[in-house]
Amino acid sequence: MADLQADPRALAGLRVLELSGLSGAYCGRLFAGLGAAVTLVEPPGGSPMRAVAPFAGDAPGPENSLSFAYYAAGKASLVLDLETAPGRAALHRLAGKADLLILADHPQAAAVDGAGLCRDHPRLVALRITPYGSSGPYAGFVGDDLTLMAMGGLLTMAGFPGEPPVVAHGGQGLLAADQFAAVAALAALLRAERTGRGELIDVSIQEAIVMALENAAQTYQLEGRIRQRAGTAARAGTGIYPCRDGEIYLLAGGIGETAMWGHFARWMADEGIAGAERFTAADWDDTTPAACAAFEALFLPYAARHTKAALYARARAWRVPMAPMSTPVDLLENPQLSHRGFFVAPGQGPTAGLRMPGAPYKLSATPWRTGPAPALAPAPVIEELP
Amino acid sequence: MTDLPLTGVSIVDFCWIGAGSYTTKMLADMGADVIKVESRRSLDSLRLAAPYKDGIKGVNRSGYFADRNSSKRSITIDLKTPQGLELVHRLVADADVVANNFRPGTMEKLGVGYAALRAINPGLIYAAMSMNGDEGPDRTMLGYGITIAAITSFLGLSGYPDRPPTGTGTNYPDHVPNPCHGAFAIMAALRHKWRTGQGQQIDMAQTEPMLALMPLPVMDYQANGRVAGRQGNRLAGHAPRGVYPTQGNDRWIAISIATDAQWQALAQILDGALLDRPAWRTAPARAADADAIDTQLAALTRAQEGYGLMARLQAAGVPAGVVQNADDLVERDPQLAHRQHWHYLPHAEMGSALYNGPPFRFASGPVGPRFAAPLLGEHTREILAGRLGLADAEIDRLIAAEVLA
Repeated sequence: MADLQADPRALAGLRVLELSGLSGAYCGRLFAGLGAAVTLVEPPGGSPMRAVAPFAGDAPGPENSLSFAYYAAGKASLVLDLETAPGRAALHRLAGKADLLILADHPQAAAVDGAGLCRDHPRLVALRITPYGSSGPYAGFVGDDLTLMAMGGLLTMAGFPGEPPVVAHGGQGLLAADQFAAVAALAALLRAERTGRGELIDVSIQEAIVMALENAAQTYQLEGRIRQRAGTAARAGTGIYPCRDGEIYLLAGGIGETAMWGHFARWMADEGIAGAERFTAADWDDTTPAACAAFEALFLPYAARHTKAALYARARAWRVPMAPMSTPVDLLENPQLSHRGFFVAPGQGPTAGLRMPGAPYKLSATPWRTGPAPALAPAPVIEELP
Repeated sequence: MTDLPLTGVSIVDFCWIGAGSYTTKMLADMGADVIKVESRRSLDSLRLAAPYKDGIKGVNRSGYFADRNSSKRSITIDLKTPQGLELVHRLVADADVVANNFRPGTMEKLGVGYAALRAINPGLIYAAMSMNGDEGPDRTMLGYGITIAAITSFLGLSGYPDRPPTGTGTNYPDHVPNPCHGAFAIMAALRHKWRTGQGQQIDMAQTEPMLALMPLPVMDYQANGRVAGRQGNRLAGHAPRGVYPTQGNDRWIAISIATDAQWQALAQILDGALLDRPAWRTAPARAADADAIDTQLAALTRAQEGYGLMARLQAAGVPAGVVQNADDLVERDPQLAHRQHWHYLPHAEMGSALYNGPPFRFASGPVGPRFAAPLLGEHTREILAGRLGLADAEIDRLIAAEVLA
């Protein structure tokens, strides 16, 4: 266990071996950020993540992938050829000193026996992340983010009725599994540190996506309805609306019984908008098409005169749920994120100076830290094991 | 039988609605004793969110609330009464964690801010997860999953390029990013507390986990001056990649081709003559002609039964998946059934109600929902007697004084 004086971070002293590909890396990043020593075990030639576009200066190269710069931040790298007996023996020795092994879509994952490593090292927590889980009728199925979002049931709710559903930005299905995997692994590690007993954890990416269905499964069970794509909202004051310099998202009515609508109506009245009294009329029903038209006739001319930032500030003061439809450029200049120091620039070499997301939470006594991503060693290294 | 991972951890939970309640539910399902502090005078609005058992509205009938609050105990206390506040302070005195997702300042007004509770319990972990965090010019903004999706650009970047954004059709940040990050941070703080005795404050802005899951738009803009846009179902290095119609009403299959071998297998299974043109044998050519390929593919898949086509494609190593809906997942998906994903738990008003289990299996034994979501105030007596040692007569007096409302 690490010296608390030397490293007071929450996960200091935990040793993590990460055998990732496109999946598994965010799980390792969560451990690295809070102080675990995470070693990315790369195949000869490097992790597949190093080949993922875009690249710094649009120039492919093992140190240039923006994905790698972010997802591998704060990790060490060790190149091992797991297709060879010495490579597997090295992994076996390393696992004996590790607390957590993350085994995902590493190109040589088939050569790794996670259950065997757990048997030989009873304190080890080993995590397997696969598309559908490691046993069962779909265990042999292949999948990527799109096909897994389909099978996990989130895809059917995204898009326009009658048209092909459309997947969310950024590979969120794979990332969902990484997040649940991190939660499961840390829970098992807390127990392993207290009892000396490790764990073998089997994570299904499909099943992680099923966790995101909001109330769809319960809506089916309790009311017999199947939630499908709705396209845009059908409530007045709910949805994306244009303003002077872009768009905003307004949720004037809130969700459930929280009665945010009155806040919005008072805001509009305070702005002196002619006809705003309509919003507080006893017969106002924000679910009718006529209400949508009436809302737009009053709100859009007002919104067209104001910027995203100005509308956001007023919505905050009036306690109305609203947000700018940010662009990536907006995010880099967002005053709230700047105040919190959210973006950091830990990169070296081709990615030096590039700002990227930093801490996803602030722990007052044990803060997050984002280190640089590791360079790729030229050849498999097995004699210099830590 | 082995202890659950978080057996012995005590959490006093002020979370409500979506992301916060899901965070503490994950910890409760893994063994933590989570006491949900509620009041009839200020209901968790998720108790009044559809769906309801048999479609009949009621504070103990919401399936949305139930799935977010499994394995928790509920106590009703009116914090605005001095005696109610004192009872909560006594509950917090030996708790490990207090969690909330109110706007900054609300907990302080109620008398349960960090400074007040730390004075009672110096080793306390105090987790707050408002939309924008504890500090900064926009800290008092109130947020929902969908407005967080908007401000992070997640909503704007999700959809077809030539159509308005569609996002996920849900409040996505509430269901995965924020609960998982919140639970991870709380457990990390627990480790630190067990090693040092030291508690701490966790300040999680609900925008920031979502942003941490989409680093590339801001990085690509800085590195290459490229402003990200919506890409539909397309992805660089994959062609074709899309969602195609199959037999039936509103039935679709997702297919994603990353290699020439997968393409050849797809062409052979669907109709080699139509698809396997020499010009489409290389990935760059397919990417350049993606629209024409999509049209051709859709014409061929339309006549196919989705699951049968998926099985044939999977047998040939082609990533393919039926677009499944809740009915498919709950009633028929053989993989979820094999993993025993769905749990039916008995509940006094809802009967046998459906819950999600976690998406992970522990080899040592089952981890998942332990018991159904609580009725409003179901465990008030049990908690006051068991945790604070109050006698029945004292509890009766507190009820009569409307402290436990």
